[in-house]
Amino acid sequence: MGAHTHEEGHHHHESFITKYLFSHDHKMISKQFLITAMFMGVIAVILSVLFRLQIAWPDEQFEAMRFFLGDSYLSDDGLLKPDRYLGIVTIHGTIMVFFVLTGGLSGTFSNLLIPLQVGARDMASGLLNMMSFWFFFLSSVIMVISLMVESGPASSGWTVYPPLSILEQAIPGSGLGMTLWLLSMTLFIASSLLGALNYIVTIINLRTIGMKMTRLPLTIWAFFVTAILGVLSFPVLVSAVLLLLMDKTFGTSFYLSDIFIGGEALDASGGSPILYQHLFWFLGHPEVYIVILPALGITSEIVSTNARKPIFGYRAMIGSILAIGFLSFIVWGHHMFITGMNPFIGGIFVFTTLLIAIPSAVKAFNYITTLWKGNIHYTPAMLFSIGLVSTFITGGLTGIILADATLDIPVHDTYFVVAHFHIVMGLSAIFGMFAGVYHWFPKMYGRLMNKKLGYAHFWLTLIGGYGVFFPMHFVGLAGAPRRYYSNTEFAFLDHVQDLNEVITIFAIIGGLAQLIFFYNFFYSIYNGRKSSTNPWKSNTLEWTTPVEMGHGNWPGALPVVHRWPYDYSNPDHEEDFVPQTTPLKEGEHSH
Amino acid sequence: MKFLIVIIIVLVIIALAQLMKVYELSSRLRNKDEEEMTKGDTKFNAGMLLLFYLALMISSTWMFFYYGPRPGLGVSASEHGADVDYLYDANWIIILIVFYLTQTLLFGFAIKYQKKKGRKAVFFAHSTKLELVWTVIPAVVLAGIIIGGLMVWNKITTPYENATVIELYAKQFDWTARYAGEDNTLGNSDFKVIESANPLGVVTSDLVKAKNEAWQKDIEALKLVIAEEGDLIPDEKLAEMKGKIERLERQIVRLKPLMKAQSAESDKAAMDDVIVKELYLVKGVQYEFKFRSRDVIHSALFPHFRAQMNCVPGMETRFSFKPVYSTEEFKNLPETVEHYKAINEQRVIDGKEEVEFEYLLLCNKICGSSHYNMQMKITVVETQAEFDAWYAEQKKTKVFPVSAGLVEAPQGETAPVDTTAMPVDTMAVAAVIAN
Repeated sequence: MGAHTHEEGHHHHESFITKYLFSHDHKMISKQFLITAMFMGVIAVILSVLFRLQIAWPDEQFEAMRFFLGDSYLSDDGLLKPDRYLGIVTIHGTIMVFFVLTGGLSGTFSNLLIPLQVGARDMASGLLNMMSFWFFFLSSVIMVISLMVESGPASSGWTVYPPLSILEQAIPGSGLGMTLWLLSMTLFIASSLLGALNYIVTIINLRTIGMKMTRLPLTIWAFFVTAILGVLSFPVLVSAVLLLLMDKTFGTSFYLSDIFIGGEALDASGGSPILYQHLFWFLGHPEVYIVILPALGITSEIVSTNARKPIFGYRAMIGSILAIGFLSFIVWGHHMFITGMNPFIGGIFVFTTLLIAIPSAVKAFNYITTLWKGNIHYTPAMLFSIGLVSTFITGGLTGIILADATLDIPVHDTYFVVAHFHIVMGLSAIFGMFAGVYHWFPKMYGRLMNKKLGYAHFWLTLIGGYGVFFPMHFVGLAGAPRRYYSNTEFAFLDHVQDLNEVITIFAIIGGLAQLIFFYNFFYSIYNGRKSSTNPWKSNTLEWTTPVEMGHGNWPGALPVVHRWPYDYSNPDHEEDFVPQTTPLKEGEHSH
Repeated sequence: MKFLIVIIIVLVIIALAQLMKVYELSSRLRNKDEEEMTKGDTKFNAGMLLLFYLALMISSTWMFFYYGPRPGLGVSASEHGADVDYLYDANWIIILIVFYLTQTLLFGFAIKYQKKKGRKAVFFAHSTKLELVWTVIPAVVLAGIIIGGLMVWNKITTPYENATVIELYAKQFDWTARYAGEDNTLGNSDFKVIESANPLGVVTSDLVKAKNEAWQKDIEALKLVIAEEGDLIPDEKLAEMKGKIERLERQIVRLKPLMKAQSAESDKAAMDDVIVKELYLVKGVQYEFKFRSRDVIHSALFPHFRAQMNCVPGMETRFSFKPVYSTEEFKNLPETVEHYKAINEQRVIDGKEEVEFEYLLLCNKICGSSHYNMQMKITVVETQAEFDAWYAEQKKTKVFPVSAGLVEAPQGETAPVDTTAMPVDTMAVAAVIAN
């Protein structure tokens, strides 16, 4: 607590530049992350609708393609070019996984909530925090620019497996587009690491008086473990990406060997494309938990608040977050069952992967029990959280199939996989993000988002999301590989083509529904109803700050914590919530 | 058109803004608050939750019945596939039970415990007993899933004792198969000796020698040109030529280990290999497929045989299976007949040509722009005799070895060679070697 206990709520004069651009204030940085991620999200959603149009109606021309992508993406007959199809699939995946669900989710909510919920004036290092955002912004810009490169964006899938991602002869997108992708990712990782280190240090060092680790809200626990996962795994991705860059530019052969392409035998020898996959998935699997844990943390907080009940099994929830975090590092091989990996090693990965189902099941059941005999307020945030639990279960269950090496054989790399991870980490994480935005909007802008529009947004998004990804399982089970420009070359896939059309229609509905959110968001910033100090009658510290907060969060002394954050409907108290700052009554035991 | 779209979007936004204003004003009049859940909100969302829950249950059940766990693929055409399918069914039963149960609890509680005036939630923060229950039960179920899964996994990854070996070779964007011949042993192969006449880079001593000689000749020719006209050649061109010489010299050095690895036996193993563009298998024979790739990672997916394996440049991967239905048999299974009837009815409506069932090999790892059409037909025949007849036919024209080093080398090694082309005049080449 040290240096931050003295009065820091002073109001020094801030110019436009220091306040809105190069701000050190965690709240401003959080908003910067959110809005950048929202715009990246729009691009990714538009790309997804475009390639869904292509999959559903491969023979049709669409004005939308020309409008959004321009002529360079189209062939002479007005159809999307096959390699550009792969390009937009790749960029969609990259943006969604990294820019929206990693940068956007962690960047927004870790920044906003860590200082506010642990009772700190700001992050441990405001400067690093600011740099984290600007690296993120720069990397976003580069990623978007790569879409406009003449030879096309990176086109080897978001996992950019070599040799395809290295060899320009193999696909044009592996030229300048891929170089920009690598550059952008390097900056992105730098941003993530700066952020993650800051989060960890802040949580360990800057907790206010009385804020023991066992009194932290589950959001903070989730952000904490997420940050640790990031710090341990992203450096591995950096090395993977740098080696890839060297193979591409300096003629090394870490990942290349025995390749004959474009009529010549390449000099590269001794490398292994599988090495890249090991390095990539050593990040890649923790990455899916980096995406989902913050969403689960947000949900824990929102479900408890709006069910007006303590979160069920607080310690079990922390335990399961830690267990998931630990296990996430020893399961990466399940992405590689069919790379020719030794079957014995495959068996070990089957075992470790399926173990993750246990802490996940504990979490799901704890959420359900939290709802039991509650007094549930259907705020838009609560609805999104309920949606998250539903998608987390649905998507998690199909994971049982993919974790099993035997069952993985026929569905590996098919639409079954796409359906699985879009439900369990796409929908769940984005639902968590929306829940967070609706819930903490008052902390960001001092106003409330419109509830009715929130409902419309939620229901259309839930219906759209399930409508897209539930039927997609069957497309995969029918044997349809992912990343196919069209299925028309395989008649045996004809009978799932109507499913593909249905999926695309739901994708359009789900995509358009986001316009409601955008409108609501920006309208409410200026015209939303003014929020009261504690609009959701919540226990955590962020609701003890004034509605209009300066840099430093609390105008006076920092709050002192006396109890855990989930004293909702405590029978010893009159009100159905007891803020963490309320001292224990005589004879009352701290949880 | 663009203009029109923009105008429509702007109009929609304006309309929404106006609606919002009306709503704001009216709710202010009624003194409602965004923070409070009104009765109407609760009723609406509880109703929607119920509707959504019902829709999810009904549509998911319908899809499971209509499409089933293997939509359109039918029974497994391979022996181990039956085990895979059985394991699938067992897992699906568990998954569906958990799915229906947990979604019902989730939506049920979410609806039942909706906000009511005067209701206070029950303070129920934890219960060691309950938590143990839902830690132990999933653990036990998962133990069953893991044990069942690993048993099948070990079974299907154990190689056959006396399998017939076939190589499947992937490149952008087609498949090539190499039969190992009478000795059931594939000849060595190496990417450095690939050329249009030898698309798989199969190695024999003669071929390496010929390659070596051809490259030596190229070097000498280049050196001669430089020696004679060195002063007249522009610097750039000269550098290029010298680079080419260096490259050829390097390649010659890299040929040496290949030469060393060759023996009379490995030459013999290569000589009877048969290279074809269609895969013929015999029902009931155990096959071991060895996969290689020339350029990027591909993946050989055999949906009907429940088999898949990546093809990785620089290494060899394997997968074994035994077909249990011939193409004819599978085609005439009632399920298949019905399925293809439905497909063809739709194809006629769409003005496409009708199709018949056939086994296919697909590429299932993103490999470039024509990834979506990288396929190979697989024919499973009933008897060895049928296979032998086909094989004899193939042998006439598609026996290894061939070498462009012995025939005229295609002009300009670096120009993209039409590698899909099969040896043009194999017999002539074979004759040269025989001499």
